[in-house]
Amino acid sequence: MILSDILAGALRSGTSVMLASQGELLSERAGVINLGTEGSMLGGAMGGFAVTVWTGNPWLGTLAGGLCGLLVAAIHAYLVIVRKANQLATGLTLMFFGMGITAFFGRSFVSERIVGFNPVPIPWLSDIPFLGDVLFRHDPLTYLSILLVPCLWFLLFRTRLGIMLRAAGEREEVLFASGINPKLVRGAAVLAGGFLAGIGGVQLSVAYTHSWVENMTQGRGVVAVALVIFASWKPARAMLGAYLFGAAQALQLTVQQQGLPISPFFLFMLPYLLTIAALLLVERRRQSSTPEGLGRVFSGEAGG
Amino acid sequence: MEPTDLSSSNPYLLEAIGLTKRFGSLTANLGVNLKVRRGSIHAVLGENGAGKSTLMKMLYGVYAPDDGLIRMDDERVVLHPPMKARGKGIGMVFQDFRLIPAMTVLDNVALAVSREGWRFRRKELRERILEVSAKYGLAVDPAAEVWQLDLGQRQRLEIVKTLLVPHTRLIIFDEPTSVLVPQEVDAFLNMLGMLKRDGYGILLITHKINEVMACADEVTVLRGGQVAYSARREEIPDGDSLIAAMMGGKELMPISKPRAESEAPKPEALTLERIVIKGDHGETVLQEAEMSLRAGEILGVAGISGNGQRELAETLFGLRRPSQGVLRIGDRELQGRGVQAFMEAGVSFVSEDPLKESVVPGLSILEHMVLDGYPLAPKRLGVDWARIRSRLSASPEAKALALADPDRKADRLSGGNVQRMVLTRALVRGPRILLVSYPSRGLDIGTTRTIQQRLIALAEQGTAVLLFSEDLDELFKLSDRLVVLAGKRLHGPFRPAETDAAAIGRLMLEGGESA
Repeated sequence: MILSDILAGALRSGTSVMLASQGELLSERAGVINLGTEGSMLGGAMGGFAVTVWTGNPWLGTLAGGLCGLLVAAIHAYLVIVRKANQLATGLTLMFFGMGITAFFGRSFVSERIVGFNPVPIPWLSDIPFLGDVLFRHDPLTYLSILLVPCLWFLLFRTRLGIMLRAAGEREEVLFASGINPKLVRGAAVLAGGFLAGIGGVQLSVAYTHSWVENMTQGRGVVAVALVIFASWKPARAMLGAYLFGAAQALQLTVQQQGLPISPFFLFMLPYLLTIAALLLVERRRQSSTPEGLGRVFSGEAGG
Repeated sequence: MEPTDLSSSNPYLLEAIGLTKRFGSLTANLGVNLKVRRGSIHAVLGENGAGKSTLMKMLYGVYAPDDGLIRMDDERVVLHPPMKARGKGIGMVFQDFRLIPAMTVLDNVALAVSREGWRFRRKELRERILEVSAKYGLAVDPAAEVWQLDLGQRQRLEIVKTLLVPHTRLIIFDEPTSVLVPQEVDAFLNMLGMLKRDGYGILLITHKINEVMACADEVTVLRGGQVAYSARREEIPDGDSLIAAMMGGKELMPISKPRAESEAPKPEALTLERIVIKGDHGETVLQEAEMSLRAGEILGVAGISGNGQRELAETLFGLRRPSQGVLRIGDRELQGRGVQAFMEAGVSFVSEDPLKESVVPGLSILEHMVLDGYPLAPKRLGVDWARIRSRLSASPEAKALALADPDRKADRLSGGNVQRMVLTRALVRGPRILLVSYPSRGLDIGTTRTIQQRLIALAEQGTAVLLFSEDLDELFKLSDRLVVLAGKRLHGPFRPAETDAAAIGRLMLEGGESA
């Protein structure tokens, strides 16, 4: 059944983008735009794959991939928060740095094959017609990523940490005035975001394709950044957007398999086109929900 | 939530002795003594630049004093940074509130109040908020988002926040009534009385003599960074002696407004017909507004700030397009046109937040003037800056408003000096229509009077003045007619002689609720 294939594919190929977008969402809620998400994903995909090859254990790979993503984000955090560099320029640079360095270290892994993560059907639930195929026959990282979304929502909107994080993204001086160092909060959010993006990369290489190819994220990190805006900085909407992107990917693959006479280049473009269309549709509503302090540099002075 | 340790024998919560603070060559405070008793209200008066803010910021720990000492509970204390001051039980309600607009009331309180752990008890905090607000008549809705609140509500939230911080016993209020309508002022003073009865010490910074006379137990007047006058309430003969102490030897210019009621109505300078204005979030802020502003009159716009004043002013200057209706200047329809068209039609605009909207940090006063179209003087291929400077300094507007040195950079100016610059800039254009928002905000009595006199003179020369203000005193003194912005509508016009502040205040409050 093609529809359930596409929907299941939406989850499978959307999960990496989804994880990265949740990470970016954390970072942006705290006031830092991280275009280096692409670099974090690539770092995660490569590092996670390498450790899985060496140890044969995909969970160790996941941890390593997350740390690689965090490492790339740490460079961003240092430059942007401590050195007060421009967020966009730094992020772009890190994106290309990620492409380069993973291509360099990843050369020897290109032909490697791994077992990695494989779909784990959930007993009983996976037997439900249609829904079972769509929702309950996925790899462990996909399940975990779905659980992550409500957790993140809870963290952001129901805990003191979440309030601090959002305050850092809205008005740092208020956070500062209540005795908390906004730089620490921002830094932690960026690192956590990089970790999630790294795991997104792991899902791509270790769970979805079981291979490493140079620049295999193909702009997913950038799409993740766009999705955060599309989602008005709301975790559930970012998840929806990521699955939309994933569905377009799955659709493209299905159409190619069916051998329909559509240019593969056009099909390849489709997910990105859809993302642009989604952005156009919601652009008008964006203004009011943008975190006030997004992209701003905090001077560290106590105002007034 | 009541202040702790009432047992101590020392009647003073806080004693500041010989506080001195210098900024470079400027001495902001010199040898200031100030004592605050528990369960009493101590008012601190002073003109702009008298050093009130510096003193308060030292007491709240924003600055460390260069000299002098502060004692609490018979012990010398260090209050810098503010975290320490808060730990000692000092809270401050700032004029520009320390709130995050995108978050709810509850979240804002949680940010300030809860200290430990990564979670907090939402339910418990909610109940504590409701409890404090019921006790002191500080109505706030914990679920509301702060951007939806008007300034009065935001202030109540700030006070609730301060009261909920553990161990608060001394609260500093910075010009608290400047954002309130008369009824709210009464409620506020009432609440101060309750806090006082519960043992809180209160420091009240203000310009308003009548409020000081109404509620203070002790008064300290600062002038030029030093204590010029200090007395208990019962020793003060009347408000005028306080004004005299604040002004020193300077003379206060009286406000005189000639009223030419009998004259035939002048031509309409600006007309609105069924204007609908939308706000930043796409919501309607003004419905079907009708208004006419005549040449040579001052039309006052009253209203609680945040009721569409900014949007209306921006619309009248072409910064915002009305979504419906007709906007006429003279006999030309200008709705949908840009700022350039409005400037050419002779409109000048003083925005409600000049620091944010009218100031380019790196540029000097002179450059600001030129940026806004002050005529240049050519000198060969370049610009004769010296001539522009002397022409500006010699202009009657700059003299009347005591404009600061034209070469000073705007981001180094105090709020009052920025206001002077922005007003001078609007006036040197010789506008036919002047839109001016809160002209006296942040200015001392002397300068306020000068500006008010200037506006009256301008109207006499035939300029149509639209005056946005929250200060009902000012509106009644200056306006020929008054309109009220409330509940998304323009009410009026009213003649000041035929109504009173209480009626307008009620309309400001209730107009908002019936909608």
